[in-house]
Amino acid sequence: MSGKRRGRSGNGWLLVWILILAMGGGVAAGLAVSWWLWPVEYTDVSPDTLHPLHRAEYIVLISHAYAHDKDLRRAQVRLAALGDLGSVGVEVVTLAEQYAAQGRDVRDTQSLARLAYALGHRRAALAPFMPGGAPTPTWTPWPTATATPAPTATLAPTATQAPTLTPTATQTPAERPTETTRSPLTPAVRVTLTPTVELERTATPEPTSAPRSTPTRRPTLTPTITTTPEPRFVLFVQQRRCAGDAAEGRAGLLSVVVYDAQGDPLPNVELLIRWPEGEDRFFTGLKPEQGVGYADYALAAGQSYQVGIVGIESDVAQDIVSDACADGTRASWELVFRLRDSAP
Amino acid sequence: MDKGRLWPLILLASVAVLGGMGLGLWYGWVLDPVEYRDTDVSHLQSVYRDEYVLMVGETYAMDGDLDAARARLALLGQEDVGALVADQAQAAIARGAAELDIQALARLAAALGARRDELAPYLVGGDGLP
Repeated sequence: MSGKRRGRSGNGWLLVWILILAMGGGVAAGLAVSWWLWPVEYTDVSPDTLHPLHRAEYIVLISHAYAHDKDLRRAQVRLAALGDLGSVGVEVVTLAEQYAAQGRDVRDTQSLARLAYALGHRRAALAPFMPGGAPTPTWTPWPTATATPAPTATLAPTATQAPTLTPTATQTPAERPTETTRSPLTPAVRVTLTPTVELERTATPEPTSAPRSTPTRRPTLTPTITTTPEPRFVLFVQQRRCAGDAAEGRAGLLSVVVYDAQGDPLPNVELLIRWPEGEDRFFTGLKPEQGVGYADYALAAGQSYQVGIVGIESDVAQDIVSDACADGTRASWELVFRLRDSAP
Repeated sequence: MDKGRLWPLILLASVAVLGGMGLGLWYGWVLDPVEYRDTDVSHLQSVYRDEYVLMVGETYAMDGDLDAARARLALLGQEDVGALVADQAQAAIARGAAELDIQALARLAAALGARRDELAPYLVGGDGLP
């Protein structure tokens, strides 16, 4: 009786093993067909799947085509086939810098540099490849603080009147001292030099053969420093935000609003954003539905940024980091700059 | 084991094999298919291939470097790239594309040795004069 039962039980296990093996063989056969024998074929791929070398070639061709037809919109549409236009724009400028550094075909580098420029990416390293050779970059060093004059000028003017001199103040850029460019910054300091006259003996030749010392007047200048406030964008608000931003699609977004001295929003203000590896520029007024003084920039997670205004003295917002909020979303930032009037 | 008990077993095993094969195909084709990440331009969808050819034409119009144009077109894996460019130029004429585009394609086609009567008007004044 028990022997019969054991026999049935053994047959049952055999059946289970046969089924498992058969199914495993079937799975193996199916995978062999789907992965090797007759795999899914991608014959109609889009450019975003291209191998990096082909992708670079595609970007170079887009830049040449842009140089040919000067149609930026078309170039943007072509670039958009490679992915998000913002990141592809960075790719264009990075490629241009690589080509410049590697000494590649200058025509390729020129086209890439010009396309990058048209897309709003400006790099000092690419200036030689822009039209007209090496234009003066408009990059503006940020001052670390209000300029402190050190008028160490050695002056020997003729003592006629009190000259008013505006010395070049020594300023320390916040970062990137290698970028030596013409700064439109005007030191907010005016130095008035008032001569005081003292007598000193100098040799004056006489018509006679025997020279004789005669006293002549020689001024020395004693600077008196008076400060004059210059227009300056002051950072009124720098705020990290979390709650509700993800729902509004603003997570990881830097929002900037720029006002003039009267409190009216200012369009077309060029903003410079920097991070350790690079920089970019953006403008207010490109999203009029948000206000003509509004601009925004998508922040990379965990990256630390500085933001300031180009072309006029400005405070610089420091340590802007889109880190994680308590609810798991990424922090956004809000900056408000306002022009401080030059009136004393 | 007698035949009466063997046949159901074989049938069951066959069903299991087919089921397993179906599972394998579903996994390989749907769930985790072969991914082509690093494709080349020869795999591009026709609309992007046309864009690629046009951009090669525009580049040739800029630099006149026929060798570079040939090398770029060779990536498409076509034997007669001249005919390919000429066909595209004719298609561009047919759909009323911008004259600058047609000129670029026609001149590249001519430079590659593919001369067609329909393209002749677009060669006047350029490097691709017959």
